[in-house]
Amino acid sequence: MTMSRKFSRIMLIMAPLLSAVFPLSASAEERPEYEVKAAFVYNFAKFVEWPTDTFKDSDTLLRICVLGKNPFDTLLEAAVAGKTIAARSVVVVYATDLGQVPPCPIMYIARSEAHNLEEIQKQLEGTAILTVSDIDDFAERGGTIGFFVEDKNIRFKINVDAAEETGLQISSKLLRLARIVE
Amino acid sequence: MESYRSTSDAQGRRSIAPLGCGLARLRPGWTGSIQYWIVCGILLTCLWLPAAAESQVDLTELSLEDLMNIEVTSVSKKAERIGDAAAAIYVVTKVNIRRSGATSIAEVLRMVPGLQIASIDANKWAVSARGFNGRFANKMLVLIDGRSVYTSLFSGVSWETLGPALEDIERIEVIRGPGASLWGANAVNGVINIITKTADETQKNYVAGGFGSEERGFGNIRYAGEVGDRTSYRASFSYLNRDAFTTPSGSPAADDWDCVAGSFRLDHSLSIRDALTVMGGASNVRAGQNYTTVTSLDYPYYETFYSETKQKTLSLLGRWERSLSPSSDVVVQTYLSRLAIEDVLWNYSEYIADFDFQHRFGFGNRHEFLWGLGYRSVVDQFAGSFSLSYDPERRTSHQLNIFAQGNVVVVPEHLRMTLGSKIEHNGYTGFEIQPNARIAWTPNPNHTVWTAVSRAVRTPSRSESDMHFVVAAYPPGALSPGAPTAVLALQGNEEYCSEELVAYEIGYRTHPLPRLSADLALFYNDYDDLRGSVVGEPYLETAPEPIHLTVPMVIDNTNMGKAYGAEVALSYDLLDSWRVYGSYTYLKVQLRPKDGYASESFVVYSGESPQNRAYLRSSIDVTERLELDITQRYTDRLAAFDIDSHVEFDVRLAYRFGRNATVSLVGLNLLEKNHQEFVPDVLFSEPAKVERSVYGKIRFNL
Repeated sequence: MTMSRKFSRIMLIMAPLLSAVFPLSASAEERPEYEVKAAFVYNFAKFVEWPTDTFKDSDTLLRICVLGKNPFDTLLEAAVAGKTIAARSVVVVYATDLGQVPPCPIMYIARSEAHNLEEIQKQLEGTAILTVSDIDDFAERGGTIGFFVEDKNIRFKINVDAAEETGLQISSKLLRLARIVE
Repeated sequence: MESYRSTSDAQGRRSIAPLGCGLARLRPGWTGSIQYWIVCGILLTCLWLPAAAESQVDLTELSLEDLMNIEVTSVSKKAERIGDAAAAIYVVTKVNIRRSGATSIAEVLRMVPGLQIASIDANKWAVSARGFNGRFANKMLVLIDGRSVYTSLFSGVSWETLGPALEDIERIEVIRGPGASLWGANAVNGVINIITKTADETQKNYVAGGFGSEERGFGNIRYAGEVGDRTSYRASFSYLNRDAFTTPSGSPAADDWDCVAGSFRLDHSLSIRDALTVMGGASNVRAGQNYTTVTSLDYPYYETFYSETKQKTLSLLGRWERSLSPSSDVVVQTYLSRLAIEDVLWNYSEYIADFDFQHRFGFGNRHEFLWGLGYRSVVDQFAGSFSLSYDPERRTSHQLNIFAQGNVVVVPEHLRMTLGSKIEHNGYTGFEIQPNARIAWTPNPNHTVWTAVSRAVRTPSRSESDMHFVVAAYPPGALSPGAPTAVLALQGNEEYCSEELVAYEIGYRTHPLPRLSADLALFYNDYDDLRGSVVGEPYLETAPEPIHLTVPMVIDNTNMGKAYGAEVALSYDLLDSWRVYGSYTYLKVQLRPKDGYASESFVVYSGESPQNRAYLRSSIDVTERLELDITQRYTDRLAAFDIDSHVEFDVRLAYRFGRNATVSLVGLNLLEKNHQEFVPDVLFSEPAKVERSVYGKIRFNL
């Protein structure tokens, strides 16, 4: 068999496939995981009330801290840019070490911190911080809100006891959508 | 002899692939067949199903309920839920690796339904799925993080050299049945994908060590860290020294095993869209055995001697993954690897350079397309002896491939279809086409029925092409009156073709109760051009002296046959803290010479697998700190090797002290003092019996 006959045989097999599957443009309704998570984090802030001593009247900022290896790139900043919550501008602060973190009512703990989660929890004990993370079983391990993915959708669990201990008030609307961890 | 096409003498060698192999052997009229065009027609129709487009909105404007309905993709490659896969797939998780108590990768695999694992001796294993098991089992492709560890020297895997420490493994995905349309040639009866943890996931330093009756000493250490907030790394080192087993006559065997391995991995996120991985490893393995083989033309011809095989491996891999959009990504990967074997009978070294590109994209929410190309080059050198030699001694071979696969959701959430093929060109047989078609039907989320038809080939190994192996010697006059000294030599054949498989599979996976899952796979494999040998015309040779007669036994595609079987796996959570796994495998292999080949050409180099195999494991968390695992295994007799069936029993008990220390006690093969599982095939090393073994291990987080 000559080379060209071999080639034509391949083309004969592949042609219908190739012609069918090369589209001119691609579109998708899926969104990057962390773009959606960033939107959730912003939304959580709207449904949580902090103890009255968390903010001073003079505070004009609401900081969201990201602890550990930032998984959002710039998506979290993009999500909160120009937004306010309770008349405070929302800003994002990144830190790799708990010691560097300024007062933050919301702290996103990146997956990179999974191995010292217990240490972090211990240091945060008693502070009114809304902790959010996608570390496996984060809420079960004492965090406030833990993300998980179910059939490509983002879901979250809330550890009500942990929230109450620190004095956070979580709105019933948020609790209704969450899976509750006792 | 009509069917006997050529002897593989030095004169007749050609570097181009002979006619009659590879693509030329596609069954006549296949592309013209009505089935082919029906399949293509269905695919075309599906692909043109309207794809919904949606404009990009600011997600923070959405309500929480709407956010919860958005589907997401992660930067890392999309992991398919096992429940959705249209293939017989089983995943060994890191928890199950730990709880198995196994100290080597091959032994971890004993828990996988449908796999046949046997210890040949303390440092050699036979690992295969769906039949044809042997030390050089050639129908299973094995990859570590996308790097093939299947050597083209003998078409198979040196399990004793596989480097990564068990604790660095994230999971082992085992696919039974052909995976050739994605992974390429030699993924005939299955693919074993060993996937290590990322450096991020292994940021805990630890040290572990232990010893016991067979494991004379082993240890692992890991050092990990981060540079800035975008780069993490780890380095691991492991050592294992195993005592010899027992020979069937009861004396100690010569099969000690000593393995030192180191590896590193570095993960760097260039941006949220780009992930860069660099990893490498090295291992230095010493594995002993007694060989009995023909070493000279002088009486008594045969010699039994101890040989320590020294193997060294080196590998370096780089991979760049880029997410182009939520539904599309690109992976570029390249690796270099080296294998060097030093033995009394031969020395071998091989260098492999490999490059792969892969692009996945979706369009609409129903179509996903995956395509890629790859190139591999193997440069090797063999220095032989009278017993075993290769001609030519050096060989460079190139392999090029391209593959394409389309995944189509025909009915959202219920019916999915996959159609794809790999086309590759190799230096032995030319073009090979390996298509497959798969359909998965999910009437509801707890039930999936799937079916697949695929074609896969097993390409010739260097040995099958170029080997000269003296397997027997006859004194003067023994073959016929007046004949000189004679040897029987197993010879490679440059015109040897690929072995071919067309596989038909059907499977059912169900999750009928929250605590119970079950998986059933049935298959029918139709093989053609399987390896056998043909006795050729004897010829006189003057070197080495004295003048002797060589009777060639030339490797050829003499056989065909079928295999069919069933694999069932169950997992049941009796309690939150108590899980039970069970599996049963039935296998029947029937081989025969092809028309025109005499039955005496039917030499069993096709391996052997048990007809029935069963596995039962109970995994209990006795307390939060105490783990107890009890495993029972049944393996049927191996008729061809005259090895009896056996039942064995393993126990592992592990206790965690405080936060950082774990102590475990493991007993393996506890039921019998010793038992034989396999025989050394092809190379004549001494058989050995697996011994009862107990070891203790202690592990500290640093």
